[in-house]
Amino acid sequence: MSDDDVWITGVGASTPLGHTFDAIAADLLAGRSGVGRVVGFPVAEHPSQIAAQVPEVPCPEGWEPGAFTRQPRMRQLVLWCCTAALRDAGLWDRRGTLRLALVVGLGAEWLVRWEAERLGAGEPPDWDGSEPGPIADSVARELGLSGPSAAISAACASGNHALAQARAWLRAGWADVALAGACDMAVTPISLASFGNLRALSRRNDEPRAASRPFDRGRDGFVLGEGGAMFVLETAASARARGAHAYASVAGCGAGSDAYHPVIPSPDPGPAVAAMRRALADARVAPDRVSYVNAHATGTPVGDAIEAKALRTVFGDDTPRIPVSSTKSMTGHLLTAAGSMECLACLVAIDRGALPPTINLDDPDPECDLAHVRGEAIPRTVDVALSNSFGFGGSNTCLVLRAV
Amino acid sequence: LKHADDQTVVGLVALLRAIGVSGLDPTGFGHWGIVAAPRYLGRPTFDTIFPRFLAEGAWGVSPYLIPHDSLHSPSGTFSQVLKAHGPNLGVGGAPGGEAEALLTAATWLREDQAPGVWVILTGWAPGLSPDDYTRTDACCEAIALAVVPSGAGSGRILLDIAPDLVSMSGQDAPRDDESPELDLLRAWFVTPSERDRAVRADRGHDPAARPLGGRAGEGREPAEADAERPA
Repeated sequence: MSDDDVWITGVGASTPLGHTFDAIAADLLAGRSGVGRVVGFPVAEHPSQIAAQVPEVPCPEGWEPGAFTRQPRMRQLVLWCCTAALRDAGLWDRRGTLRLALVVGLGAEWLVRWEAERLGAGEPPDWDGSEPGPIADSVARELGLSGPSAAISAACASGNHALAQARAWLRAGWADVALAGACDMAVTPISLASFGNLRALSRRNDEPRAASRPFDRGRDGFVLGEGGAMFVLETAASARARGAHAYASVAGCGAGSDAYHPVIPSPDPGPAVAAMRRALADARVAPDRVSYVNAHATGTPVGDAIEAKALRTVFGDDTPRIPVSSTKSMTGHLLTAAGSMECLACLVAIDRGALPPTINLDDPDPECDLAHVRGEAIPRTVDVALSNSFGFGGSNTCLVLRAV
Repeated sequence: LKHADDQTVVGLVALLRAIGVSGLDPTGFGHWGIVAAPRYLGRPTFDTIFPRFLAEGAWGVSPYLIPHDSLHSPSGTFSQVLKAHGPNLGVGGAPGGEAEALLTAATWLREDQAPGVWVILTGWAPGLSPDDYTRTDACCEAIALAVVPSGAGSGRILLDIAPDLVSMSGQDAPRDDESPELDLLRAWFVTPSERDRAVRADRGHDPAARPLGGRAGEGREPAEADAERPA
């Protein structure tokens, strides 16, 4: 442990697989799919009619359920995740005495809000009765957070950026503790239509649970998902001093850009490789020491093959020995929150000593030749987990987590 | 840029102008980071698309909405134009996001994530209201700031990011080795008239075809989705 180490000591999540670490871990390791036919609005005319949804965000302890459910779903989600993470870390009652920072990935905050307004859901006043403002500000105020805060977006790479930024703030001494992660509630009529017309989504509407098939030869696009995860980060010294349980160390972060296209990943794997190598160097971990890779792999024909090529470049001769899975096969693609969902999957792997599988990988694409964890979880001690998240706008990020 | 939000186009103009006056090597941004802080990006596009969705259903929704009108969109576009392979990030999204953007730039520099960071701040003034898009006095404005670590630039320090606050100063700020100072090299403010010409030129419009003005809602592509509608 060095003075610079930053640990994850609390987890709060609401996902298509559940709302607690234990529930999510159970489903991930059982290979259960959270994908189904979209509920909540008509989809008969949509090209893609399936998604991994969060039907209801739990009401945090201490909130009046009626007032909570009247809030926009995105605000409910962020509040639940932050509250649950602080309680899990044992810092809920101390939050007012700490400089507690907030970095939250929120890529679609305003589009989702405008859509809800135009669809008649309206925008209720903020918790204190004031005009609704940005969610990060609202939640920070509601929870009494006194550290710096920021809402950020690198599309699907947002969650890794949030953890990197929070870690940097802690190292700089700008905060005592940080809440970091990402949330998205993008399963809406407009979003489903826009992604559908972009031809990004699977149209396997008759087989929802089989639709998300990363690395499979039959993949035809990703499945939209929603949800989020927030993590409590603190320095190792702080966590040890108070005897906190640590899920993992945020050992390395790497970020860069393709500078190629707003949507299409660069056919040159170089920028993605650079992000992974930067994260590994930051963690001081040699590629052959990686125990598990949670791939970005969304199930699009182009993206999965390019990521596989990048992974082979990074791991070289060790590629056949390093297990890889894409948990989007079960959770769908949580967009802005994807990186945080997959960070959570890595924590599950570390905590439970088991690798979550890629389901629906019936016919692996030869272009995606990797050591896949196919169909079923594999018992394995995980010392170092690597999680890739790549996003629209050409963002490439990589997170390295180390068991504590 | 055909499908880009006005804020992205104006931000790009500010960025290119800032590069031009900064004296920095325009080919030397290969590892720089990009932080963009728009305000309510995509609102005019959304308000064009929504009635089409109501009238035509799912097929009436542009596939370009998410790629070009989300918080991440401007920074991704700027990184593409500059061939900048450092990190790119959208920050904030509403008034007040400017401080978050500067804090993000300071964070990256402190962590040695990039040798420099372009921070591009954009927004409409006065802010657009969906109930009043016909107003003729709203202008889209942008500021592009080149931010480098203290000691790396020769410019006067105009901006100092302290651990607990973000402050801007027009004076030479005292250097404090304990704080992550930034050298603000150049800022370029785009005037409304420059914006009008830039938006039209970049979108392939004939600047002489319409009177100058470029007001809110003008210049939107009316049927973006049609060309890309899947068969």
